Amino acid sequence: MYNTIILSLALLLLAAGSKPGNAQTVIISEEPGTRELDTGYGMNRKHYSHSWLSVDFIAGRPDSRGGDIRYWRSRSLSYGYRYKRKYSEVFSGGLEFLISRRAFYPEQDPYKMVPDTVINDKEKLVFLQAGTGAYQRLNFGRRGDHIGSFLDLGIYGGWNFHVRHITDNSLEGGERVRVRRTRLDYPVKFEYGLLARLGSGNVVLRGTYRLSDLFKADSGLPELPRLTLGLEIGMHPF
Amino acid sequence: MQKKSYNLLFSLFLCIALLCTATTDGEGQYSFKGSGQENGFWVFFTDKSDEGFDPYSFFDKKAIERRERHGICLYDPVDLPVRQEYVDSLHTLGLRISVVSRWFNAAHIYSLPDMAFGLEEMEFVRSVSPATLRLVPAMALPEVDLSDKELLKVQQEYMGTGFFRKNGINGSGIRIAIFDAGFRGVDTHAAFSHLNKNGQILDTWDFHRNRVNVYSSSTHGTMVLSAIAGKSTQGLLGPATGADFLLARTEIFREPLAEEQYWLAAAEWADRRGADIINSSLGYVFHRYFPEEMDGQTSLISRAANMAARRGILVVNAAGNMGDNDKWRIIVTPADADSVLSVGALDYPSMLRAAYSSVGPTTDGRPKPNVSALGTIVAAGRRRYATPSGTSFASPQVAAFAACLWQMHPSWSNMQVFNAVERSSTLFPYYDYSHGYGTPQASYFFSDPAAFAAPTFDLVRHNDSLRIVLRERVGPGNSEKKNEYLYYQIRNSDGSIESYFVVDLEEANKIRLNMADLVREQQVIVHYRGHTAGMEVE
Repeated sequence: MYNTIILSLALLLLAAGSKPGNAQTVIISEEPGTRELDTGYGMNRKHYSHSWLSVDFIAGRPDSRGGDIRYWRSRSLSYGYRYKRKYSEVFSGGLEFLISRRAFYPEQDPYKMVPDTVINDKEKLVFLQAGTGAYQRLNFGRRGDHIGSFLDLGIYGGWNFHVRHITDNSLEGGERVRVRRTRLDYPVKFEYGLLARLGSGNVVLRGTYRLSDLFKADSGLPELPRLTLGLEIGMHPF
Repeated sequence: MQKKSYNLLFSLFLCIALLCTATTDGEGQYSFKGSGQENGFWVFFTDKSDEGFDPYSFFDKKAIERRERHGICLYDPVDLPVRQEYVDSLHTLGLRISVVSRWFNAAHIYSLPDMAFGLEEMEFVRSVSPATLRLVPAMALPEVDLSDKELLKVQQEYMGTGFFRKNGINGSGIRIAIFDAGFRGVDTHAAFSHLNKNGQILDTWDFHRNRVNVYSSSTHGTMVLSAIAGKSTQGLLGPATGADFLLARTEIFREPLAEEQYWLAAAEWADRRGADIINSSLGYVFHRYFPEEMDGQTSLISRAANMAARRGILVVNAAGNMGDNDKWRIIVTPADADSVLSVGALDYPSMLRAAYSSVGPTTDGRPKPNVSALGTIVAAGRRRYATPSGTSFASPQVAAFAACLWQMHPSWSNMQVFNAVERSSTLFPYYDYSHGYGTPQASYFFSDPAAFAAPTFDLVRHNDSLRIVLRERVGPGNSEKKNEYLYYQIRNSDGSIESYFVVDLEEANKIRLNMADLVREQQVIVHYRGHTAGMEVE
């Protein structure tokens, strides 16, 4: 009780002693005099970088029927980060880094050879890749600080750091058996190819053509389709 | 396989290297040669002829009156039509012509670059330049019932337009041109029945489709017109219900690639039809421009807006919705033009700058926006009502205000109306780059000006500090309730604002500013409740 009275008195004294009339809140504070425009970095400035997402569908024909795949289901999903250096109003170029997950679904028919001749209920060959690319960009039309419409031509390379082969079959008793094989000895570790993109703003149509083989020469496996066609979304404002 | 790959790679790199070598001739330099793409170009002609030009048949009677009122020669070379034989010559070459501009003595064509620049060889062509521009209007919102009565009440009262109404002022006799994306529902919505019934919509034109019907495509223009002259069962949506209108569709769709020639063509169209005011709730930004180009001179549309102003038209334009875009922030074009009344948006209920409203100054340091108005309003939509937000809807409120003011003072020039709108605003003569001079007040034109001049604070210099002492103590939450904030700024000797602040005073009666950091000849300017005062650093 005694302590409470002392505390109350102390608060009253504090309140009485404080100077009235100083409570204020700054709602807007602007310093236009110190505002500086970053004219070096922007979508149509000297430097720009942004991330992107893409889905690419495997297209084209394999080297032989043994390499047939199920189209549409066979595709890759990628996430990348791109740097763009502007040379002139029309030309720019740059580098990009990406990670992707690509899955091939082999056609389950008597010609099947990849990665073996066994017919499965379900089967896929999954490549996880870390890659990089270099491209040259041609922009069309005049524009402000905007990505605009463009055509990219370039090259890419990637390290297949993890490849797995997954099969899924049902046994006679109805039991399902899923087999996941890793540390495979037939895929090549590194691959490279050509890329092309046609874009406007955030939306980009893209294609890649793999120049390198997917499987080691001594594996005897036919090559899977080399072409991909896909859609990319640029993660930038407009 | 490997050898083939290396050959392909080598070829690709060789192509890229050649391309780079051929084009890295400095940033900003570019060439269309060989691109094979058809682009827009302006072809400027060498001369005009006044042969057979009769202004009395060419212009509407109102346009003649405006010219006479502003002392503009009826045979001004700028107004003479483009020589038809020049246009015919371009047609003969098979070029597609979208717009012919008498103000700029030019034609907008679509052509391959080589061919367009080749026209410079023709003796009647002064120059050829690539056309620039795209636009960014605001967004539309879902339609609502007319239930937001509180917002509507504020909308009807905060500019004091009741003074106009009580004195029978409704913009009558003033002709307002609205450039927008479409006016869907204007011909059917009850909010505009008075305009349709009385024949107040004098003319319409869709500059994209080259047709009369503008009542499709978008309700953006519908809401803008509503903010000027709409009526509802709950009262007026805009005060200028007696004005006449020219409606022009100059945008293709909501976030479109539109060309500046539509805006220019619409301005000349409106001029010829006697428009007194142009309301343009459009802003042109990043698609074609960089923020440093917002100097009122770079874009053709800014020059066109100034040209319209020189012909006696009051051009009112939205400041832009880029205020919360860190890469842009500043005013958009043509709101950057010198003679354009640029309007920023206020947030409701704080009545301070809405976060999206673009700020000034222009990149060449001119103060913009000029004034501010409510950014969120109740407006007529396609069938019912909507509460859209954006500087697009602040601009028409000021255009309507100006129309009423002009009806009161029909002998005034456009720039006299421009200045009077600024002078009547809540903060005047205080100015900042967020709010301009504040919100125009009709009461200014009906009350004793002395009532606005009563001091509300004193500035007291004490050693290295400046004390702002209010004459009336502020109660808790008072400033927020009444939107009576204290505004102050540090102004440089060249008139530019170094920094500015808005302070909510909670139970305060004085503020102390440290002046030790200020340099000589800088000024501290303070505004509180209609009173502005300043002190220079010695």
